[in-house]
Amino acid sequence: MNMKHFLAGLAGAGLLLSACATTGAGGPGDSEFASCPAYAPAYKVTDDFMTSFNSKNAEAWGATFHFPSVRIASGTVRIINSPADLENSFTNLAAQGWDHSAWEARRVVQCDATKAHMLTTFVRYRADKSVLSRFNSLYIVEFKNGRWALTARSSFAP
Amino acid sequence: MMARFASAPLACALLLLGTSACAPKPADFSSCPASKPAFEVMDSFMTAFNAKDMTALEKTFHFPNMRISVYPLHVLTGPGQQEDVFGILTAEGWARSAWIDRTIVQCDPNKAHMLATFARYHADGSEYSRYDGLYIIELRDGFWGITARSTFAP
Repeated sequence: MNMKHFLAGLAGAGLLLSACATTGAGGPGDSEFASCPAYAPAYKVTDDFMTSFNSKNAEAWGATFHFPSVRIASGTVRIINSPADLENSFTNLAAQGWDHSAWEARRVVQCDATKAHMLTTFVRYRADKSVLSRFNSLYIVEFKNGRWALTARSSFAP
Repeated sequence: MMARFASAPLACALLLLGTSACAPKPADFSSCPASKPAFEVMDSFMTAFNAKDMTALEKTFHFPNMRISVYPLHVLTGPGQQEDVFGILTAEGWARSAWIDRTIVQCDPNKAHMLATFARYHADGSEYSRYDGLYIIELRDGFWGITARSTFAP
């Protein structure tokens, strides 16, 4: 056995393992659902959800919801009946040092013509762009009443 | 030169090991604290459902409870508020259901998100429909229960 070649092979495999450990969200992709009718709307709704959330405008954010909407998090179920119910979300988060959020990963896991179930990981950032926190969650996006919007979300945020 | 060829299979094996490790794999939540309780709650749900026992079925629920299938969303605030589920199903020839597949996709000590596929059967044992669903199972108020479910059943 040539030790030099053995070590080279070992290093190569190590590099590969190292590369895959630092890329992606660590889960399988969702390309199998790419042709599902709810797939693109699910990404669009969650894009709009995040953009309007970061604008701290409850009316614009509320436009991405079906009402009533459900948030299952922090050991409670919150029924959101209108954009007005969303107002205090921004002040509560700002009190923790929050400035904005971003999707770190999104993956459609179940899908049909009028509904998608999407797993996500989102990150909360401070104004200096440092990470405040990171949580997994799931979003239920549906076509109801003539439009695509968010019906429910369930996160692992405390 | 022989040493170079001798090391080639080893390099290939290491390469395969590396690429195999990079292939996307579903996360394994079997050791997550919510995993066992989530499966137990889902077992109880199905047993009560097949017994057509609404009281037992609703004991597997947290309230408020949501079945995300209709618009606007109907939030159950307590037991006894559901439509005649068993009557509606019996009218379509239903006799029983069973889980075909259940997979936890997100999990922590107090909550699990589970993807499931269930089948509906006639009394003669023939399967007549199969649907995917998502179940949110939580430890709250001292017990594990289903907080919400969202299925692709019509």
